[in-house]
Amino acid sequence: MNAGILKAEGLCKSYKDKEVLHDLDLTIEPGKIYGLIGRNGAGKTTLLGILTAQNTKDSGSVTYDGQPVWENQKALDDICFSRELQPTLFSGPNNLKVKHYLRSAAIYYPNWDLDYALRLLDEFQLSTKKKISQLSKGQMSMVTILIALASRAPITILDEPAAGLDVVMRERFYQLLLEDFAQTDRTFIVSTHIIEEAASVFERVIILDQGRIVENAPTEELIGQFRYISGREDVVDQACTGLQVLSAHQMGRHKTVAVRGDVVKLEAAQEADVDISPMNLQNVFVSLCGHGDAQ
Amino acid sequence: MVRSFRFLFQFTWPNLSAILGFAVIVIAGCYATGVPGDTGIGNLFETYYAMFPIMILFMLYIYAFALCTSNLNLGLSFGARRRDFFWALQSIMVSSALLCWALQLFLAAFPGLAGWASRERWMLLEMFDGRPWIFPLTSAAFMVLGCLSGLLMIKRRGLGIFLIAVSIFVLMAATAILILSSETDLMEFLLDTEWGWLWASLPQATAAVLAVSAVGGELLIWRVVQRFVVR
Repeated sequence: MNAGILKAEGLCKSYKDKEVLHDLDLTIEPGKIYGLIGRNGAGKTTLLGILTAQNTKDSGSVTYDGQPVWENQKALDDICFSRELQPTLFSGPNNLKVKHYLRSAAIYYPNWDLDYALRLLDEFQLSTKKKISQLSKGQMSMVTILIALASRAPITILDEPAAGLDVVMRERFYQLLLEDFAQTDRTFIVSTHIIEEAASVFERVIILDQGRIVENAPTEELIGQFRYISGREDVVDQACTGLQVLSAHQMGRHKTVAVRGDVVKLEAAQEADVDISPMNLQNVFVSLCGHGDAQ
Repeated sequence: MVRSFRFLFQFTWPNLSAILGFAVIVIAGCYATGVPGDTGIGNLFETYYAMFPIMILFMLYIYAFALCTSNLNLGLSFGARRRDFFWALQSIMVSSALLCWALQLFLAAFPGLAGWASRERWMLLEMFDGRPWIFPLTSAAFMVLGCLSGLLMIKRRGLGIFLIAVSIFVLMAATAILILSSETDLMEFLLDTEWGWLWASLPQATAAVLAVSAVGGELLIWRVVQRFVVR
């Protein structure tokens, strides 16, 4: 499946006095699975909305294959943004039915795969006659996932697809995602709070914090730069020489720090009398974006 | 634009079918309760039949409200181009106005064609004789108003509620004036006053106000659709 390059340059967006995105640059290359992670209010949904021309920007540009995305039918045909469904809409219940969403998707997505949609409907045991406001949170997530997968859009974006799903369904979602990716080589961008489960699926991770991209790197490469170092306080401090200390936790004379550094410096730290343990993606995220909250 | 038209049509045809179905029920109800023959009946079906133009305007207002709220949000969330959606919306509104105009003409002619007694009961339906442009223009203006009410309701709830209240007031005032002018000698009285020239130009003034409102409303709708943020 031939996807183009989706690129954002100098994106800025504010809501009244609050700056949500600040001078943001991002390039989404085809044929990869991206994870977009950030705290609540970091600007994830706003960013995704602007990338897909569903939200306006204050300044900057968003292009697809070099052409602006805004009002560009070719770009919009290639992009599917399947966002979290809401049980209420404009202060009233969302009385649209599942079938309305599916019919609308079939109308607008040129590559809509009806057979696949029907198979997923059956697997998820969803009724097309039910109103969105009558669905459970998990069922709403299933509709989001169904639309995204069956759209067969070259660039498919899912906003919080796993919210409300139980662990079995979340595993099934990741399985479906990987199967689809293996068959179609589509580009996926998945925004999620359930970081650790999804980490094994993400080829690249984009970390958004307070309207800025703090990291955009291959997942394994990023995780490889972070370690926990623990031991006696003075020994730990010496072992951290040349490393960036992100956070520290001390109990008596025992100290644990989260550090970042290149491979050489991390290997050098191993020579000290300290315990060094790897961090997972969730730990990395908390270290970068925790801002001292509940470490 | 075709995709957006198909998208909107899936929501529109049930609404228009409901209006046509309701007309069938009212006509059937009139026959079932003896309205055509007995002038002394005065029941609910007679009232609904006589007031049908007003009811159509009210229904078109509500349908346009929904078109420009949940339907707009859904369409844009699936990647519709905003200008395509705007023009598809215009096509749907024009089609709906034309279909309802045809229905109104049919309902106005039906008592005569079917030989119903006391045709003066249907003055409201026949008020458009000689001025066939009034009903489609009013339908279009009310759909624009409904659409605008919905869009403003999303952006500024207070302003949207205010516009809804104004729309309902205008509809009720227009209904009262139409009933008074058809059922009483109010118009003759007003035309005999020193401001008679003003009342004589009421149809043209109404047409001008409706047309300006429709055009102004469309410009606002275009602007709001261009800046709409999907939720």
